[in-house]
Amino acid sequence: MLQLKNVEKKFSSFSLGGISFEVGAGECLAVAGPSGAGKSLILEIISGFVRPDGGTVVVNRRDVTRSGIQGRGVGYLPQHHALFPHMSVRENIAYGIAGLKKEAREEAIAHVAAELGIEFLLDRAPLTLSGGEQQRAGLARVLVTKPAVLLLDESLRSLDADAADDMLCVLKNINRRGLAMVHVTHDRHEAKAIASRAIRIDAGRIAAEGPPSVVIPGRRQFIRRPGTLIVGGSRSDAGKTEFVCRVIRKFSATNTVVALKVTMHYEERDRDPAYENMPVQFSIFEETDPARPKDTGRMLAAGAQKVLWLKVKERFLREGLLAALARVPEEVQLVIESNAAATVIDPDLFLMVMGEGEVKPSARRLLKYASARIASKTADGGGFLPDEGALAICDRRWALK
Amino acid sequence: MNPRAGSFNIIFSLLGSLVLVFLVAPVAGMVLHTSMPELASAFGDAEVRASIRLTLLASLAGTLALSVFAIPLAYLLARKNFPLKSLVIGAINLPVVIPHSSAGVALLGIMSRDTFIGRAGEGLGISFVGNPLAIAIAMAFVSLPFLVVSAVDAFGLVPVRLEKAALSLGAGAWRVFFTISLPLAIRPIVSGLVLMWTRGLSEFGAVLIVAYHPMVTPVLVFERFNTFGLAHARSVATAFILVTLALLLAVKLFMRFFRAPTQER
Repeated sequence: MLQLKNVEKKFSSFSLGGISFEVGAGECLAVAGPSGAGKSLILEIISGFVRPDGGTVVVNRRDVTRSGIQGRGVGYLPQHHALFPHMSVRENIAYGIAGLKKEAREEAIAHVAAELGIEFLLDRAPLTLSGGEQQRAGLARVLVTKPAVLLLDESLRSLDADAADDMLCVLKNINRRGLAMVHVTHDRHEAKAIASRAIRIDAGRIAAEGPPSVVIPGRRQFIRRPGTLIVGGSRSDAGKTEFVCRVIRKFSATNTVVALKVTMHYEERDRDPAYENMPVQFSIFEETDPARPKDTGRMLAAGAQKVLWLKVKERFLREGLLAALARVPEEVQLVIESNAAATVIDPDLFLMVMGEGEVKPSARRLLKYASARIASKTADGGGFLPDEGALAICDRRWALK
Repeated sequence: MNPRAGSFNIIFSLLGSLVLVFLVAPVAGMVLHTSMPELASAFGDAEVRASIRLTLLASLAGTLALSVFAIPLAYLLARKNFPLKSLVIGAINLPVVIPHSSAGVALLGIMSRDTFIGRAGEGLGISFVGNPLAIAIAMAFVSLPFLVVSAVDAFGLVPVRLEKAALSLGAGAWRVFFTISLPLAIRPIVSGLVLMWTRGLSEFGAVLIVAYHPMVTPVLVFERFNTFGLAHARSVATAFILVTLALLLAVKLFMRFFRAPTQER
């Protein structure tokens, strides 16, 4: 149904290469990987928005590598709802089948609307719909064109848990009836629920291929650390790390605390010279001198028994964190401060360090605090945006309790 | 209320009010100084009526004709990156920064009878100089940046993902433009068209150079002032202002029919 052979694309700062996979009829392939790894670029190449520098894209035994976007037989459902706001849901669905006669068009719309349970939404304006309803309408608009391959670009990410589960059921049903699907997702649960195979993309290459439970890192693969807290922090313009000292003091009142200071070096974002100068992927130091650097003293004074300093290259954050976590006994309260809080609050990593156990309500408040702090940094040019996905997962977990 | 915020609001309101007075007072004074008989005589004057009609139509024609070229240009500027793009943007804003009489001289330089365009026009039986066509061209020349800038901003606010979604549904570039990009940007574009048209109405410097006759109203006001004095010029100016205000009101009502682009940004 869909076949990619050695697809490659080069940009000045990023290259995608050696991407080969096949997705048969009725099969769903999950594509996972960190942000910026090239997952969405693969979808853009399949759908024709980006022309690859090399390799071939075959849809339904037809080489469409050099074809235009139209007529590829590929449907594309993005993460953000892309319904046309100036048209009703009916007009949105009709958009891709404008060439049909009126009766055939109406029949096709009625059929797909019934299939997805959105008959009652047909005359509504998109902006009056909930997130789940919008995504269903978007799916109807794609399905009505009868694509051979459906591309889902984190299409469930912006939905709440119930709506996402509903959409998963719908997608699974569609998939079973023979539609080939490629589903870009960070969520292992989602991938396992719908995909039979998965690939993990890292830095523009396929890093792993196999069953979703093996390929997509999940929380069970990580060390569970109940009560561990990421308090964030952000990098100042001068490249120094600023820490949220008041937060540590507040949280460390009762437990034995180890502070883990994470300094992440970036390869691309700022052409960080420290990145190139680091001989290894990450290094961990135990800091004992309260005078140097000064935040060590502040952490020790705040109640930390030990301060670990993890210096890590951006791409090896996961490995670095795992190694650092392994050096702290599980019963010890761990507080992580990072200049890379936005990245640390990645859903996978977040679950990794938060664990599945008790997450204190105060942690949520502190996470919010850290995120707001990062956001305020972003407003004046430095710092990073908090990861809304992590916050959403955080919300979901609290809601379950 | 916080006393500091109170004094802040008072001082800013005062400063803002002074600007409003500065803008409105001269025009209001002129309108109020014009008696009804003077106004009636201005409206009764065939030359005044003809000049108002000519001004409105010439500016409208220039606006509509140039919009056919300006809107595609604005779309390209909003969506594409190309070499010398900043130079193109600078060129579009040129009429705003050069004196309008200079713009008139420049236009006359390419439209007069001894130029290629002038001769080509003569060959087709069109004389640019002293012709309403030249007036429309001069008006459009000086007011075009208002349309282009509005339209670039308008297209810039249409999310690219909507266009991509339309393309992925099988629509061609033309259909995407006419069914997605343009309808979602239409409101600010119409505002830009109205702005261009109204700016064209008030053009004096460039029109004076390219076509003193037939007289548009700003030239007629100048002529009446020179020949008969302030009172005569005032009645013509007031009549023109009332007509344009009435038209602007009508346009504002008409624009309510355009659905507001309510998409998220």
